[in-house]
Amino acid sequence: MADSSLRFDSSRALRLLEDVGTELSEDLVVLMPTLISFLRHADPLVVKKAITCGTVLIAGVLQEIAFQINSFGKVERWLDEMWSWMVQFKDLIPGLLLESVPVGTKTAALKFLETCALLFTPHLDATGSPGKGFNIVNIPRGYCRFLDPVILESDGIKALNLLLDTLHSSYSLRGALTITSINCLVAIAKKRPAYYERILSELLSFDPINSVQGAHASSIRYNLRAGFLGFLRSTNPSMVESRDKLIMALRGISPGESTEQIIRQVEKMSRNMERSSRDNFRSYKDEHPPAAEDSISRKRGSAVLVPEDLPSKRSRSDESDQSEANSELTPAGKMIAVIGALIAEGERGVAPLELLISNIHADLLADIVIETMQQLPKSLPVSSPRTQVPTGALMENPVSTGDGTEGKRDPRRDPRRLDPRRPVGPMGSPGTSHIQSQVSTDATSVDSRTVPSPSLQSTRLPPPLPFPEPNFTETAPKIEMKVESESKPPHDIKLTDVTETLTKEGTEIKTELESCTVPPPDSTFIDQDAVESTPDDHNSVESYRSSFQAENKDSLMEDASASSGELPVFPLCLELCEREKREACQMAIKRIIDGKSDSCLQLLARMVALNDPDDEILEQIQKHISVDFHRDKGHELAMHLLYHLKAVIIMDSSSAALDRYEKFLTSLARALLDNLPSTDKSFSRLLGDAPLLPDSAFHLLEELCGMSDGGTQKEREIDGGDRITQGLGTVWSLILGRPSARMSCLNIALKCCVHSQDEVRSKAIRLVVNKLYLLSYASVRIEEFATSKLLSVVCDQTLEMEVDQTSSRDVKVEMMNQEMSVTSSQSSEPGLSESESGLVLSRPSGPSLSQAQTQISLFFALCSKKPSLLRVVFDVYGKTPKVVKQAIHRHIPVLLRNLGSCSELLDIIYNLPEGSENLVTLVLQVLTDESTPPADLIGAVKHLYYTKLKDPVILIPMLSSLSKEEVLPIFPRLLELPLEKFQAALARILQGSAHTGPALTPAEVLVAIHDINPEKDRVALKKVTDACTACFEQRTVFTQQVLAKALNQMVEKAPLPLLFMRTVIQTIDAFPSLVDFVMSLLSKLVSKQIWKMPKLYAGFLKLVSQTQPHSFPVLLELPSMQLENVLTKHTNLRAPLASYVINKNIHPTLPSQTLKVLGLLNESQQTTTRPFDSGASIQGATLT
Amino acid sequence: MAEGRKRMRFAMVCSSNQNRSMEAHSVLKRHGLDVASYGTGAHVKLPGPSLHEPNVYEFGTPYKTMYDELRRKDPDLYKRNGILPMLKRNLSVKNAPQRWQDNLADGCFDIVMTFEERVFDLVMEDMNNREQKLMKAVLIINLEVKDNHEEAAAGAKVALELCKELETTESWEDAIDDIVAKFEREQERRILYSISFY
Repeated sequence: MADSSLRFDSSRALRLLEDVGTELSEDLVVLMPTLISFLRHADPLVVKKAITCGTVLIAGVLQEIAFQINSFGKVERWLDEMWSWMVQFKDLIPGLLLESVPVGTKTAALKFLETCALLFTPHLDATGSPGKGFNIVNIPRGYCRFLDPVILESDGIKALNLLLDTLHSSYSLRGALTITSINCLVAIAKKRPAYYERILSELLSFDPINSVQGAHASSIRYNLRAGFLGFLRSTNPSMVESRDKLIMALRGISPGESTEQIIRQVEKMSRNMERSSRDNFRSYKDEHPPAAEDSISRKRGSAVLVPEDLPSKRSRSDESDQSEANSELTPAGKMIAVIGALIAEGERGVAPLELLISNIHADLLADIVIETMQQLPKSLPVSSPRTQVPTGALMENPVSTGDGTEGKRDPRRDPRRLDPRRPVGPMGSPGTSHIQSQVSTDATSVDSRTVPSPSLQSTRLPPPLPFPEPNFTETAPKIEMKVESESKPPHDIKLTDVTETLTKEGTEIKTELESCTVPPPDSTFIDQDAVESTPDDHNSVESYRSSFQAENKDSLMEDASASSGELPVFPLCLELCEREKREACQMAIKRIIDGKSDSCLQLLARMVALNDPDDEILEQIQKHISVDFHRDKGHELAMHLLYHLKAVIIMDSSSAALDRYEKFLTSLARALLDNLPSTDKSFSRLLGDAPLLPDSAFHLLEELCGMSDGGTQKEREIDGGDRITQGLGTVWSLILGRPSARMSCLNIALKCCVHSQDEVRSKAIRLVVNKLYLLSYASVRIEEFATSKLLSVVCDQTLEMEVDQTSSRDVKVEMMNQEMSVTSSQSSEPGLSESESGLVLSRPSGPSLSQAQTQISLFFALCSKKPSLLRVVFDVYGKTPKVVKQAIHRHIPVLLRNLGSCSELLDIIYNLPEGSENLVTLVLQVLTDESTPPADLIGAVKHLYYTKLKDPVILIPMLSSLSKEEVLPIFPRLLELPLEKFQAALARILQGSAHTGPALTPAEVLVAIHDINPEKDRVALKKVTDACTACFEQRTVFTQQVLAKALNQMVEKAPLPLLFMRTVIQTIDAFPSLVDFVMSLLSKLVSKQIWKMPKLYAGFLKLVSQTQPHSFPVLLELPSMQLENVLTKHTNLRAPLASYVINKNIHPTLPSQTLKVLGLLNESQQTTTRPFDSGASIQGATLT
Repeated sequence: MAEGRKRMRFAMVCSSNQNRSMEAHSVLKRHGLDVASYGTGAHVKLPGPSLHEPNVYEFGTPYKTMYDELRRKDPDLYKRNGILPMLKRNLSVKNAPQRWQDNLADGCFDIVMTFEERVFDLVMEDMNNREQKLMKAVLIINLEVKDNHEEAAAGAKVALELCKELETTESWEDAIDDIVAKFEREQERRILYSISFY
């Protein structure tokens, strides 16, 4: 093979593999050796490709075999040969997983295993029939030696085990491998529901964050989540049953709205499904006898196999109905059938049988035993032999004496049923026996769950034995018997014999022992028991241990008949003194810890339960746990210990027991915090699962959340906010999971909400507001706390002001005391009030702005969830000192941007508490900042303006949405405002809303300003002129066109606005090009007899003088009397005007009176006397 | 050894095969990578005059047709919101949007990049529902990119870098964790990946 591999370089090999493709043909047989040799090729790409090729081929070959059997009843020779090559190929794949080959190769190998697991396990399609394609159910047994369905199925299970092992050994693996194994397992679980429960339990126990170091955790989490979601959406009954578990796991993996949404969706879907399936089920039930239904729907079904069923099947030569039976059986039932079939093979079946049993998962093996036990004759004296495990050590242990009912308990019951986090939890009144049962059941279930599938390690110990082992403490030959019975459990005749002998002994010992609570220990357990109970000297422990191990290994791993080692007979029981016991125990624990064996956990747990440990041992174990928490299943061990210590507390009410518990828990928790990264959930899980949370645990939690004193806090800062997140996360999970710890945890969270560090505070507030506030039991307390904090800053400052007034040190102290009593009366928790008053005392000079903000942030965050709380702010605002007001002003915009104008806010505006005018102004400003105010808000504000608050400032934000009719009446009031405010109002008016356009156009604004009558409207004239000036400043808005339009309108008014001439003058100053327009205005004024309006006339004259010579035509329009008046006042006008007339040669058109005033008449007619001596002007006139 | 290796085939997938996947398609193509692009939605949706009136097309409708139609409808609007330029770009890359779920005939891809977690889910689901015959591994990566023009351009750049890096690695299975971690750190974008088989 190696030769053929050498003959192909990479590119040739790849080309060849490409050619092999997916088509199956006779010619391929020749290539198979080459294909197999490629598995050892130097180029990983070739290896990968070869595995892929093999994966395709193995499915193809089996498909073809199924086809040929169905069509011709036999299989062609080449195909037979092909299959035998495929078997060789298949057997090489698991080895690749253990070698250090590239991940790509391993993922291909995993896919191969998945394909095998699917191919080699029986499956039914939707109609319940085996289907047309390849299905081992369709292969007749004994058809050919390579294609035995029993062996195939055991291979399939082996492949599944390998996949599971890969998942769990992924500490050292890369993400790609973990993800592929998750996906493969999910695919198998979906397509082969018989293995679903097993796969699910493995996936659930897989910790995506901590298991794989260096891999991309969120991707692994995603894939796990996707798998769970797939299960959740499935309608398969077993997947539907596990829905709660899945939902819990999903929430654990990715908490958040998206997950909740999917869960809701699935729940809805399942309700619909249930409704429709209920009808189907009813009709199905009518058609089928209940026994068959049982075997399908229940995993540990009742009598699936009647005792005579198995032998008869074995003896019968036609096996046709076996496959049918198989398809209806539970996994355990199927395995029994398979084992039965192998036993029937006689000698030939021994090897596969051994292989099969060594690979069966502990759970499944237990199921098999339970099922076979049910077939035992009813007359047997002991109901359940599993519980009869007498051990010497048990007798000495006061803790382990349980009551008699425990014998009937299902030893594999989930310990989490007794979990303290359950609301109806046993925390309140657990009796001794209760706790005791927790300890022992916990040990059992952990045991059965954690026994790893041993296929990868041939030296691993077998799963828990189904039978009692009284014989282990006695003599060796009995061990052998047990082994014999274990390797061939379903052999009913033999089994009964063995059990009979065992139970006889059992009853003997039973009379000696009061009762036993210990679960079926695996052989390692028994080993340990022996170590504890028999020897009194280290050497003898060693020798016994090693001899037993050797014996044990022999007897379990090799052929049962081969083991017949002689063991020295030990005394049944040895009395040790206390010191010896302790020393033996310490020694044992040290050995176990140093040994780092896989069974470490079970051993230590048992040790603790059996020998009430002293402080030293606890410390030793605690150190061990924290060193490698995840790998050594530290959590489980810690739980064992904690439950044990809790049981001791209950029995022994002295404080010493509690101290020990507390010390162990807190030191372990601290060690976890120190050793593990902040993203690790172990700390939270520890506190969540611990049977009792002492005060010190809460102190630790507070410290973690940044409530510790200065020194440690600084250290914590190095970790950044992650630790705080971890602390708060723990608080959150405790609140959810531990009703009894709720209040304490809630208080911690609340304290964090007023923490001086921004980071702590913001994270805590997010937790409290977004999560905790939604919980009915927490919301009231949260509101109370937030309100008290708000009020405390208000009161605090009020007191402070009084203090300032009196400025007496004594009074100040007194006030402080008062204040303390105020705060403590507001909070119901004594523990909390202490620190609150501490906070108050630490700032004797009253709160600074940041302190005030700190105290009220929570309240404002709550307002965003419950806007009605805002009223409190408005109520106290008036009394609030400046600093706190500032703080409120900072919070309000943020809050309102989230909240918008809600009905609660409108209510407040309608009925505004006194003193909160400034606040409401701010609120309105913020609300209208970026959006147009809604109608109801406008209504509320108008109502407020007209009823209570006459301050037009509050109207400013609304102005853009008001109509012209609404704006005009309040215009004078706006004008009265300080100039800045008026400008803001002006901007709003001109801005208008998108729907209605501006309330007033710029021209209308100008007119409105001029329409104001200072006396009637009681507005200072100065304000009006300022307003005009403000308009003129906005050149881009008040353009010359606007001004012209406004002036045109105003000039028609009667009486003319007071400031009209002033504005005209300003206009011409601003826009000289408007001179012609202004002249037309002036001429209109002349026609209106402007000289009769003295105030305006002054302006008129001023303008005329300013705008000469353009104003000359207007001047000439004046009646001669007025003209003369003008020229007398403004003598400088006379000469230019006269020369203008002469120049333009318009004197013929002018009335003679005018000419006379101008002094032009004399000169032209030369007859009349000169009324004025104006030689200079005449001269000037002649000159020009 | 290298000459025996085939070049990697990339697929860019977003919802409508218009913006994010096409931007990436165009960029990768320009840099000489073997790339195709798809959408996972039921229809091709383009923004319309309002949120409730999108322009809906079937997959397979040529970009040119959409371009002409939208230009006829409201040239100003669609020019302003960048739809017309985008369509113009698209029609220079390929003829029409293609649907991921119907791409069986296009053969295997080595790397599939999605730009939204929902799309990622759909691609994964589709891959799991397909009959796996070739057993060829495919790496599916999700790069979270918002569906607007600027983000799509930025996202395409990251996608290009990522694909280039993957193409140069000997075996992506070994390197993927490090590459993803590096990109997450450097680009501050959330990346997820999974592995499926053809």
